[in-house]
Amino acid sequence: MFAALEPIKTGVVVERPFAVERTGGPDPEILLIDFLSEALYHSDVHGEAYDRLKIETITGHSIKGVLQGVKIEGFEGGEIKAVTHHDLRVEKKEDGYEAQVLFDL
Amino acid sequence: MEQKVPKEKLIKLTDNLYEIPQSYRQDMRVPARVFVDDRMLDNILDDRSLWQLTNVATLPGIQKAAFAMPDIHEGYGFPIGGVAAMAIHDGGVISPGGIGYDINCGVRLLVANQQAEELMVKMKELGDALFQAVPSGVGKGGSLVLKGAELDHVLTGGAQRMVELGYGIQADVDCCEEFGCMQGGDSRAISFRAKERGKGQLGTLGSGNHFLEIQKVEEVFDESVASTFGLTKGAVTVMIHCGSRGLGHQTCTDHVRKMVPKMSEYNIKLPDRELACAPFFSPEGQEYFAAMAASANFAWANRHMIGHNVRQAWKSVLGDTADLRTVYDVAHNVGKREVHEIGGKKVEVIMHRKGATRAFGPGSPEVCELYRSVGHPVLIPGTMGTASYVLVGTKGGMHESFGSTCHGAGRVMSRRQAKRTVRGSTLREELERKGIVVCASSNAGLAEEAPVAYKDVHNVVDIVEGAGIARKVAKLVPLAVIKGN
Repeated sequence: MFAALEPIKTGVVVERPFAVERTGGPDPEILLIDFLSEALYHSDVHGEAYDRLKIETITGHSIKGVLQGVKIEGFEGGEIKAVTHHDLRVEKKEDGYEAQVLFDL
Repeated sequence: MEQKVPKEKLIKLTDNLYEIPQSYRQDMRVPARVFVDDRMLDNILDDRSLWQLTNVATLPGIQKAAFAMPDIHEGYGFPIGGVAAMAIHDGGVISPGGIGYDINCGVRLLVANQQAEELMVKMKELGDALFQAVPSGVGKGGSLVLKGAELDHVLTGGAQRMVELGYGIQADVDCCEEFGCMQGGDSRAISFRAKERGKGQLGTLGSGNHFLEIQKVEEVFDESVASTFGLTKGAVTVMIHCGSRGLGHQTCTDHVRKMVPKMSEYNIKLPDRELACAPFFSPEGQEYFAAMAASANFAWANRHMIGHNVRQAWKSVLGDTADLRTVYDVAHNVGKREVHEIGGKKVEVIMHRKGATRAFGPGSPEVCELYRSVGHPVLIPGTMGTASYVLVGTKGGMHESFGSTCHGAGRVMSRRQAKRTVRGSTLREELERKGIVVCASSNAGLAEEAPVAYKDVHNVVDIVEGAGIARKVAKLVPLAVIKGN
C-alpha cells in the first residue's frame, strides 16, 4: 500500500499500535477496509509509512496489533485519499486470503 | 452483469446528447443521458463509466435522468463527470460517493491588473515565488495550523471566516460560489480524525491533479460577458485547483462507512457498496450533509488562503501596485440543496455533482450580483500543455442538465498508465520549449498529468456549448505551471 507511493524515508523507525473493531457479524471485507483506513489515517497524521504488521489478535470483526515502519518526509508517488469499497474482493484460498482493494488517488 | 454498455443500446437524441433508456435495465428508475458527440462516444465506451451511470439511475428519488458530461470517466461507484438530482421530500437519498472523496474539489480564478506582455519577463520569478508561497505535494503542511474552536469556526464559516481572521478580502468571497460558505455546515459532524488530517493543511495544494497555473487569456469568444468577468485578451490569470485535503477525504470515508451497514434498514439494494446512501432526511443523511457542507467550507477556506498567499507573493515580486482580483470560485465535487422545475413542478433536490460544475444562467438568484445579468463564470481547468476555459452558464442548461456542465478535460489514462507512457523529464522539456515555466517537485508527478492522459479539452467544451449547457467566454493558456507530486 505505502511502498507503491515511493515514501521519502528518514532513518527513524516507528511502531504505531492500533485496534479496529466493528459491530455486527463477521465481514472480512469491511474489516479489511477499516484496517487499511486506519493505517492511512496514521500515515497521514503522523507522517509515517508502514511496511510490516504485527498482529496481536484477529477475529471476524476485530483486529489489534502494531504497524511498523519509518518516519517519512512525504511520498514521491502521490497520495492515497481513501480506501474505497469499489470492486472490493476478499477470497479465502488454500494458503490464506487474497484481496483486491482500490484506493482513490 | 456486463459492465460495459454496448453502443447499440444508446439512442442519439441530438448531435451532443445520447440516452440509455430506462428499459435498458429493470432497476433503472430514470434514463441515463450523456452529453457527448460521435467522436468522443467511442472513447467513453472503452471504460465502465456508462455502466456506472446506469447504476446511479437506480438510486431512490432520482429525477429526470442520471446525467454525464463529456469529460466522464470511470470512478469509484459513481462515474466522474456525473450529475444526479434526488427529490429530498420524496425519499430521495444522499450519497457520499456521489460527491466524492475530495469534497468541494474546485477551481478559483484570479485576474491580474497587468497584461501578459508586461509580465513575461518576470514569469520565472513569479512561478518560483508561487511555488514557495503555496506548499504542494503529499505531506506538505501550511503555515497556518488551526486547532479546536478556530478550526470549527472555519468549518461553519468557510472563506468568510478567513476574511474575519485577516486573510484575503471581502471581494474574494463576494465572487465565490455560495459566497465561500455553504449553509448547514456543522463542525460537530466532522470526526476527530478528519480534523486531525485537515488542521495543518489550510493553504496547501496537495498532490495528484491539483495545480496552480499562471495563464494568459489567449482568446475571447464573448467580449461582453468576458468584460463583465473582468477578462480581456492578453490578461494574466492565476488558476487554483484543489479541494478539502485530508479533512474531506476522511469525512467521505467516515460517512460511506456509516451508511454501508444501514442499506438493509432502508431497504436499499445497490450494485456497488461505493454507492452507499441514505434518505436525505434520515439521521445518517442529515449528519453526512452537515459534514459535507463543513468540508466544502474547509475547501473554500483552503482556496481562499491559497489565493491570499498567491496575492502576497505576486506583490513581493511586482510591487504593491500589482494586484490580483478574484474572478470566481466554483466547486466541482459537491452536494447542494436546489429547487428545479421538473415535470412542470418545483421540486427540491439534493444535487450531486461529482466532477461536474454548477453552471447557472442569467437571472439566477444564486449568482452573485456582479454576474447575475449574464450567469456565473464556469471554470474548466484543462491540462498543463493545452488550455483551460472560462464558460458561462445558460438558461437552457437549467432545464437540460439541472444547471450543470463539465469540470475539466477528463482522464483517458490512469495515473500509472500515464507514468508508463510519458517520461516526466521529456514532458518538462517540451513544456519549457513552448515557453511554459515549470515549477514541479517531481518529474513523475508531471508525467501523471501529461496532456496525453486527458481527453481533448477543446472538444469537451465544444460539446457542452453545442448542447447549450454552457457557452465559451475565454480560452486561457499556461505561462507557468506549479504543482506538487
